[in-house]
Amino acid sequence: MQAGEALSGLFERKFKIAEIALSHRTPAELPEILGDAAEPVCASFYQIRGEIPGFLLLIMPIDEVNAFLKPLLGDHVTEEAMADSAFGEVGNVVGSAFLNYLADYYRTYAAPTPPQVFRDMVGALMGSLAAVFVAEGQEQVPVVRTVFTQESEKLSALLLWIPYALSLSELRK
Amino acid sequence: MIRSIGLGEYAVGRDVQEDWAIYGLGSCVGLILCEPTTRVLAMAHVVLPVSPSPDPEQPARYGDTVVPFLLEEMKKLGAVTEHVMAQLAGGARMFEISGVAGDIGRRNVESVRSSLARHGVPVTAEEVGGASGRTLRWHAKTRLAVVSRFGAPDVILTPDRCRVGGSWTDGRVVKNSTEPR
Repeated sequence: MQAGEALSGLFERKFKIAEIALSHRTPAELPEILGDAAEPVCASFYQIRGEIPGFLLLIMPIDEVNAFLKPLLGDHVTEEAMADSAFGEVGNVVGSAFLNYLADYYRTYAAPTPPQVFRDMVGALMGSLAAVFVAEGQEQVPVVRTVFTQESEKLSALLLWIPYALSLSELRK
Repeated sequence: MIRSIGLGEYAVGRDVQEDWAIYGLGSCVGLILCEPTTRVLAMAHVVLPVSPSPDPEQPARYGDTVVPFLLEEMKKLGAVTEHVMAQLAGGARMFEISGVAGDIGRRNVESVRSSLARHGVPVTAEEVGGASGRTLRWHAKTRLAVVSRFGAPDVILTPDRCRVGGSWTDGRVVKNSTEPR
């Protein structure tokens, strides 16, 4: 909810939370978690350190990014470097709101790294994350998926929180 | 029809009539082994450089176990190990992260290359490293491997000397192969 409000506040237009879901996936399922692994997306990626380590990603279909950022950048939206920087900042705002809520609710500490922004195949990104979990010996991966939609522009953005299973079990305590 | 090979999976066949693909390779490595004289083909999606045990449940998942495993599977279909050639793609460094994972992509490539060398399998072509994702496709009709990247033109991985048009019966170079696009 906080992340949705942060997004709406930043863009001065209403974003609705269309879906929040927790699922457990095998690492092999991660590349196709959004459908076609070859689908190009824009993603803002954060590694989360602290007491609930894991990863946070804001993901959007690449052909929606310009329309999404237009209210912030105006005609500069077509400048890719500027658009990527803005997308990273949007991820910061949304991700921070999400993490702050978690940290407050669970009275814990979470610190994201600076954003890394990608325009690439979603499968390459998620598959590389899957390899990290396999390397850690983790064969089940919890995925918290939040979908934001902005109806007038028919835009949707996806926030994925992928904590290490250990950190999720720590939270449950 | 396209057969998609997921993380840690593999495929092996003789006279393969369907296309094979690994979509969205990041740090993982896509490995193709082909034996032109018997038309036996194998493809694997390698996730990590080193197996946690010598006899893992998914041998195609690890750089140090995938090569001997695939060679054995290919031999069962009649392949002659001495004629096997390799092509690989992937091994990118998609993001900077700290911890045990490190640069998995680079280590995957090194592990697969090293295992191929140990088993005497030459690498005829590779498209590895960098920081972007790749899709690796094997086209059954043309017997060519093609690498696709977002925002870049497709690259035919299979070198001229390994191109063997539609019949692909004896490993000779056949001119005028159709380049898939």
